[in-house]
Amino acid sequence: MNAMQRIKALGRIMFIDGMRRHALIGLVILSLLAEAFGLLFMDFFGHDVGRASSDFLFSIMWMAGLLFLFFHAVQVIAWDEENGAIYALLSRPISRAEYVLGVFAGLALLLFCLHLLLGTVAYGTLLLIKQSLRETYFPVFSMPHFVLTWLGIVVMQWVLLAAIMLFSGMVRGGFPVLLLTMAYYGICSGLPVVRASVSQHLSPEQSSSGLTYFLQALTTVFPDFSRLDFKDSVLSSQLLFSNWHIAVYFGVAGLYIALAIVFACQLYARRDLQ
Amino acid sequence: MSLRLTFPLLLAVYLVLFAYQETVKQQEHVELQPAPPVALLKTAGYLKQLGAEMLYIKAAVFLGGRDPETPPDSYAAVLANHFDAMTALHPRLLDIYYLSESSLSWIGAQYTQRANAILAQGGIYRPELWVIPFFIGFNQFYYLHNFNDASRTLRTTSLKEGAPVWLGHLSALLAARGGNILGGLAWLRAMAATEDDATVRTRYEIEIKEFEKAAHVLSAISSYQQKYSRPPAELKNLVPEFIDAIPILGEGYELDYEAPELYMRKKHVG
Amino acid sequence: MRDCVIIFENISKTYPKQLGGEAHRALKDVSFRLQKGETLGLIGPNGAGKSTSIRLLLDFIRPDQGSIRLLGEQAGKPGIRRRIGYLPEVASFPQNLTCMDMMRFAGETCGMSELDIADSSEKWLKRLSLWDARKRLLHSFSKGMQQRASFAMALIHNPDLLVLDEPMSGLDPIGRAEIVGLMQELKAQNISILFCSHLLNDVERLADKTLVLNKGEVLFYGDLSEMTNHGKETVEQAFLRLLGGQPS
Repeated sequence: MNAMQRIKALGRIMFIDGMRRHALIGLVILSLLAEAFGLLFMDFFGHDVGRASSDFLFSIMWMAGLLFLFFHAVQVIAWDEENGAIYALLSRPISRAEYVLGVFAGLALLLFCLHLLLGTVAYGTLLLIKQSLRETYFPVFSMPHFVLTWLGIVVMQWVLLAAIMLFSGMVRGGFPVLLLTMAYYGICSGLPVVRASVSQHLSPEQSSSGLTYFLQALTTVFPDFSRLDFKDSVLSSQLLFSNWHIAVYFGVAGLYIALAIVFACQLYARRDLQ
Repeated sequence: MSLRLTFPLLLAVYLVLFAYQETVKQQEHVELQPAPPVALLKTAGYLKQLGAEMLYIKAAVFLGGRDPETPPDSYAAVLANHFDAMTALHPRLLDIYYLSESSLSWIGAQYTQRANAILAQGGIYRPELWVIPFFIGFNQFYYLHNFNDASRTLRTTSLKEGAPVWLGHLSALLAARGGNILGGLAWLRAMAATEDDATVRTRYEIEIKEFEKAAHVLSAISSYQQKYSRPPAELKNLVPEFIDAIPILGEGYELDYEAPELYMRKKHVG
Repeated sequence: MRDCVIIFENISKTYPKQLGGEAHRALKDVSFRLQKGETLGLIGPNGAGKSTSIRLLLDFIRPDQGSIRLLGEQAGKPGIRRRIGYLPEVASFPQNLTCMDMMRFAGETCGMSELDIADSSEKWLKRLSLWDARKRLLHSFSKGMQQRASFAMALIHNPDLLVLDEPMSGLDPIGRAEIVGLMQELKAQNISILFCSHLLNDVERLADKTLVLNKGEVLFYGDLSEMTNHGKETVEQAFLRLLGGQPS
């Protein structure tokens, strides 16, 4: 009997529990309807129909994932603690670290399945739109780039999920975890804007100032999600970044997830269950 | 009053008031509200492209729904800000540039330049397209009457893949209109030398002949200037010392002299 | 020492001060042992430290002082819980799981094979009259059914030690009788049991030894017969006597 099997067992029940939640089923239905609305959304655009449709569909996927994270994932560990299910789970021969990993695995799989479904529908919708238009309005639709962009969303949201696991280990209660997660997301979204603004206002001599380095250091903690945003490549025959850059971005994201989860495991292992 | 009567009565009052509100709203002047600051919009992160598309729809709906009598100056600044925000968020969306060209560039010189600044963003992010720099060149020519800049822009544009062949010709025309007759002539000769289509090449050669006549007049002006250290006050002063006669140009061209510049104007181009 | 399944030595635990509250001393220098095959009844008024003791055994919380050994190992090692079955005071599960989902989870985490899980689930769910409800969602169970489902999960892997927190809680008299009968069967199989209960009649029927706590301190630890003065008192009388000796 090894740790992977225990993590898998816990991940499985987290996954099954999520699959049966009415709220998540509602989220999936709502997202699918919103993606179908993409067929109407394209009517507003006279030229770059493919691009607008692609942006819309990926944005729906992003928002669906955020809703899942902010309204389900932030509460999972808190629910277990508040309703006492944590005792039933941790009375088994599962360590605290395995518990955190199991919850993460179950939620990550739920998120993956959500995006797989929405991504498949989005791909079909874009194909339908492309076939209904003249080539001028939708000249290029690259499937490998579509998959890369889809994978970018999945990995970015796994990063957020790892942060949620960390916050769940730090504080008790779903609401504080939600507040921390929203603050984290806000900083991650705003920090690149601040960095761009600061670099525009600094002269070349000042570009190596302490402020620049400080903001760069902050980005190691609050990652820039736009580095895995490949939406603009979907309608291009060429990638906007080199393969090596893409590999580095995914690698950094993967390491970030691993670091956050390991830290979360350590935090949770020290905690008394109230 | 019983509860049974209260609800239908309240509902009736609500519906009447609502209908009245709708009538009042339709009479109201439709305004375009300013776009939020770009820095704030950029914090939308992954959704910033969608934000740009929402702003586009907002601008398009406003333009489609406004009273045609609305003075453009009343909304041009806000509209330009919308386009600035859109290009900051999603510079690759082509529709932004089409809409800005159609709604902003004609309002006045200030907004033509704003439109060109917006289009310049499109030129950076969609360098494969000829239509965006064509819009810039058109604005420079038609609204700003800056013929030399227009000529340069259209010349570069004509070299892009898929660009129509008449762009180069228009560039030469505008160069001559701007006083750069020799530049226009050189460009026409270059196009004629590389043109495979015999009909088009013949057309170029006809135009080249007219340009060469104008170039001959230019040469005479230059000689006059060398001798008298000043340009001639009128073209007829060149005759007969520097030129036998002022040529009459064909193909709709005419010479326009505002000392010291000689322009070659095509009548329908202006 | 070799036959001791629980060695609970000199344990003290204080819950830290919360916002607007005070620090709460839950246990002070508590010691007891449970031998193999023995049944220990843990009794005391509300807030005595019974649930704290159980949580310390299962490593839900950590002691400030002292040491706990279970089945010869430190209590903090997750692997030792493969031989322990735990019944919480309030049966709670993730919302949308069926009884079989949780039984399977309970078995998988203890390293049981699919076949063993299936066999053991059937055995215990039938024993606890839950077999027909095995595919229903747990949140649709009555309180008593949830309690029995929790008991089944505690037994699926045939543990050597059972830790039961208020096992009769939420059960009607028939259900209580069933559980008492089951505990007597398990006791006969030489399974060590530690349970806490407010129902002193059940303690009298089942326990070999008792540990009486009040305000985190041990009032009595020893054989049940000693506590009841070799049968001259009932457990209830002895319990009230022990409590009466404590300052209010």
